[in-house]
Amino acid sequence: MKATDRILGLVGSLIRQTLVIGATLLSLFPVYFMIVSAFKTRFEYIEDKWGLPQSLFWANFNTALAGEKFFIRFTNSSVLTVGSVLVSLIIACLAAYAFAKMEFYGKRTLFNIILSLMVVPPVVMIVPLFVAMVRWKLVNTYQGTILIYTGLLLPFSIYLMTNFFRTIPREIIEAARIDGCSSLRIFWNIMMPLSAPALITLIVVNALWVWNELLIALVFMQKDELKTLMVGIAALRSRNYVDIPATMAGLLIATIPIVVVYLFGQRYFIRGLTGGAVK
Amino acid sequence: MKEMRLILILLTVVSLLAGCAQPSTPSPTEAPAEPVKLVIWWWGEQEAPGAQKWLDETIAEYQKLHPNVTIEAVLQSTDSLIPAFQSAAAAQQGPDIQYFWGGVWTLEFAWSGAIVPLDDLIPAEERAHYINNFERTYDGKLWGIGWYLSGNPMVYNPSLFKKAGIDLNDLPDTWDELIAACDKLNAIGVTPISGGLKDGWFGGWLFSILGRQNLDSEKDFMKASIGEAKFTDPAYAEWWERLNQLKEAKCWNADINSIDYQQGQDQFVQGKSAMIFGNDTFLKGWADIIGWDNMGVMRVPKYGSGKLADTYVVTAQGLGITSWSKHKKEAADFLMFTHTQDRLNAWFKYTGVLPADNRFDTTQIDQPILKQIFEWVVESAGPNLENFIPSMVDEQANFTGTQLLFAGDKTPAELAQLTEEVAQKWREQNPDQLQNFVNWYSR
Amino acid sequence: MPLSVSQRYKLLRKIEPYLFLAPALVVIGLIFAFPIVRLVTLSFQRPFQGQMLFVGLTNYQTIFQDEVFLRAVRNNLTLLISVPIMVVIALILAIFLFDRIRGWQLYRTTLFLPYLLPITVVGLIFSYIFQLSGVLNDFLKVIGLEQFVFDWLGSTRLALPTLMFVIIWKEVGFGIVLFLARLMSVEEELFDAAKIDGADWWKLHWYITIPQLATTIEFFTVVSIITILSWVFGYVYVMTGGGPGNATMVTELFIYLAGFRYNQMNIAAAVSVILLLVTGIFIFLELRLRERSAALEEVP
Repeated sequence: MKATDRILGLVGSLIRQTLVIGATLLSLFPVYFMIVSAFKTRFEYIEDKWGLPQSLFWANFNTALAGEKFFIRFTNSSVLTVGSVLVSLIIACLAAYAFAKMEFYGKRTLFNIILSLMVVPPVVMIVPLFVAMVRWKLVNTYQGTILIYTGLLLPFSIYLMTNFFRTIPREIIEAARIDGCSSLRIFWNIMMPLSAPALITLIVVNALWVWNELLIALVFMQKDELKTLMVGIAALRSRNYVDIPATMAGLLIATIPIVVVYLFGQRYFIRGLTGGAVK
Repeated sequence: MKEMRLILILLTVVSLLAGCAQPSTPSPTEAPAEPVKLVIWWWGEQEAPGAQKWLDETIAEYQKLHPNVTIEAVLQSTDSLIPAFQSAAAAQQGPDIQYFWGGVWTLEFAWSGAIVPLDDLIPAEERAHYINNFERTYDGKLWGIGWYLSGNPMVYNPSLFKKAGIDLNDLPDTWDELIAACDKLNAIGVTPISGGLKDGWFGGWLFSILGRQNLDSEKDFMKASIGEAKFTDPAYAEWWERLNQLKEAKCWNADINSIDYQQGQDQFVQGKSAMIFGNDTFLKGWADIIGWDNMGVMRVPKYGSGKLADTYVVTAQGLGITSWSKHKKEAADFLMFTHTQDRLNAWFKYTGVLPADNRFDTTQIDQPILKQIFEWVVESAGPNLENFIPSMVDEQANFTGTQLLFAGDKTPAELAQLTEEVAQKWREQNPDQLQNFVNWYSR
Repeated sequence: MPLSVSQRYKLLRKIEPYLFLAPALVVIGLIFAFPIVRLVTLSFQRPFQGQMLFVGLTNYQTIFQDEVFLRAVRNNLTLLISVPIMVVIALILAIFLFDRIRGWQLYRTTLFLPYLLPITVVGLIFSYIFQLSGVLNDFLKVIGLEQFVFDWLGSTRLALPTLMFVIIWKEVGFGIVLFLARLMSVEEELFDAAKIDGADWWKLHWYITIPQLATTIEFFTVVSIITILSWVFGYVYVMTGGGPGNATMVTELFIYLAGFRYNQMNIAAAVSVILLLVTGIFIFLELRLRERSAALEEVP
């Protein structure tokens, strides 16, 4: 009995290891492909698509950077990401606090309406939004685009933060209230610090989304000096000679900041998911 | 400390919000009367490498002559050229000068009121020098000016032809000879013709290059578009059958459906394929990579006997002035500047592409291949038919249809049927556009 | 008459929630409410000779006769198949990692990596991988599996499944991390008790793990369905452009093309309204479900 158990256990863990390693290789391969291709010459790429490069061909990075005004694009993406993530975070938390810890007329209906806005695809909104933005003179401005991103991020952010705030025990708030704290103080001094993990989750998820967004950036940031990194990358495809290694170098540069942010925030990110965001 | 930081963040956010809520932020377009700023959205570096360099130089020179004018040129990508301008038109805000392909690609915007006629802005005597004005004429007015000419020769690789035993003095000029050439090339393991259909555009080119051969004029295609002829009529439908013959004879690269237009052309430059349905705007760029000696140009082999079969497909890519521009006069002045002798010659020097102006000094053309192109343009220019059908028909029938043909999903007859159905759908869905098209047809 | 302290307090408690909500409501009003109202108006109109005419339901009738639109809807529905697949894959891998197999922390990081990458980047990389002369087919030839060499993105039969593969590849990592995080917050005793009771691996996960994950699974399912219905534009735009032959056309791309390529703002608006209605109905059902389960939980 014991022996068969052990064999079964061994087989079990062998199967598990194999499957997990398989899945890991699968999820890493495209990234590997991007990295090795970025260092190959065009000729090398045609000859051998998946092998390691014979030597590191850095010229691809020059081609990618020079061709696409990389630093301006990078700055634009950063401004939009930081701006909209911060603004949406504050606004969403305020609203989420009301939804989670206050009673008021129309609460359920409002919450449901906001939730249902999560499914509105951005493409649907582009035409009317564009008309509106022109009327408000906000096309081709950071503020205008940040406003749009903030709006689009709000439903999910409110939903996530409301769920998290609900897990914070009512007693803490009651105690603070007896001590004479106003709601705003409770919000800043108790709710926000207690929600650090959830906030970090939200920041990571939202920052990723804004950084990677293509459609709105394409339409609302049309001036050359305002274009974002993703728009620059999407345009790599229609160059007059498709240089796959240089394209890959461009993709690689655009990807690195995200991976760095995640690796730094990973610990908090996972803690945030654990703490109520998923309940 | 922590509290301080939170307050700071809050303050920043509040100030940001205040910035968002007030619609009265100053607009950059409301420039005072004296200094003039012109914005150009353009495309073309993608098909005429060197265009960017020329435009930068032209702008610099113009600004030197007109110190109060600043010009900003934004190069659009192929996929964003039309969508970006559509949204600008919806907003009545955007560039002063916009790049347009010919025919419907220009006139659809004339019809929607996004661009203005140039008759009052550019003197008739000047306009008379521009080539292919017919593509941009509607209601007796000219809605844009040609910039450069873009034609479609067949480009071949002489050394691969020689290797396969194809006589360079007797190039294939009928359909049977083309198919025979495919067999010879396949025998030595070379892809006869390469192309890329994934991003769609090449499907439109194939229509334009092959679809015309039984017909006499672009009017025939406008007629079918407005429903007075059918795309299923044999004269219109035959090209699907002919394209299918090439496919059956294994003339094409096997991966045509999974690569983009540009990658298809690249296979020729890499020496992997012997022929392409090319674009003469690319010739100089390719020559820079592989040398003029490794290229030759020929006319597209014939299967049909319509007048168009003997023409060399050519269109003028051009520029127009938007209806919301506050500086139409200045914009027109700049457009005329691009057509001054010195600029025309510089254009050819940088790109090897013919400018759309008959004042261009043709003695500059020294490459035999470019001389040949020039000769075809002068002697037998014919319309690019993609410019004379609704863009919906182009995309939903030509782009989609060629992909379906090569995927082996639809027969040529079914594809002719599809084209007719899309045209019918377009007529039903867009009574307004149809009316404009009818007016255009009966000009 | 001045209000007493308790009266003032009561009033404050009454309006306070709205003050907290105000910024969110203003932004949502600007970004959602205004455009949606405009969309609905546009969808009942059509331009004729420079005028916008009210045409009733004509635009709606038109799109339901449009083969390309119907194809797009069918494709969106087909793509929904990927939702259960993602849930199952994420569940299995999360449980494996939760079993603390060697190196699980490293695996967690790498399996999540795809979720981080921009869709634009992923789309471009995969279109080079899946080309007929791309890496995948080269690899299959080398290992002698030539019968599996296909034109993955160029064939009408395979393009949609290939697209689905890429979507799953990218989105599944989120599920894994989500499930794993939830599992790690479950009290250890629950598992220990079951183990002492002699539950084997299957029973343990079937009776303990999965019930514990129920709400998280529901959450991930909802997020995935939303993704498939209304956030796949980026994948399609970069990888296939809707082709070959509309095989990968989706409603979002249809809206984009109608609005920005064919100059049919009103058709685009009508499709948008329909998409909003469909997703709205779906989220309504989901909310009802949620309320019922919340009501059950509240019973002491």
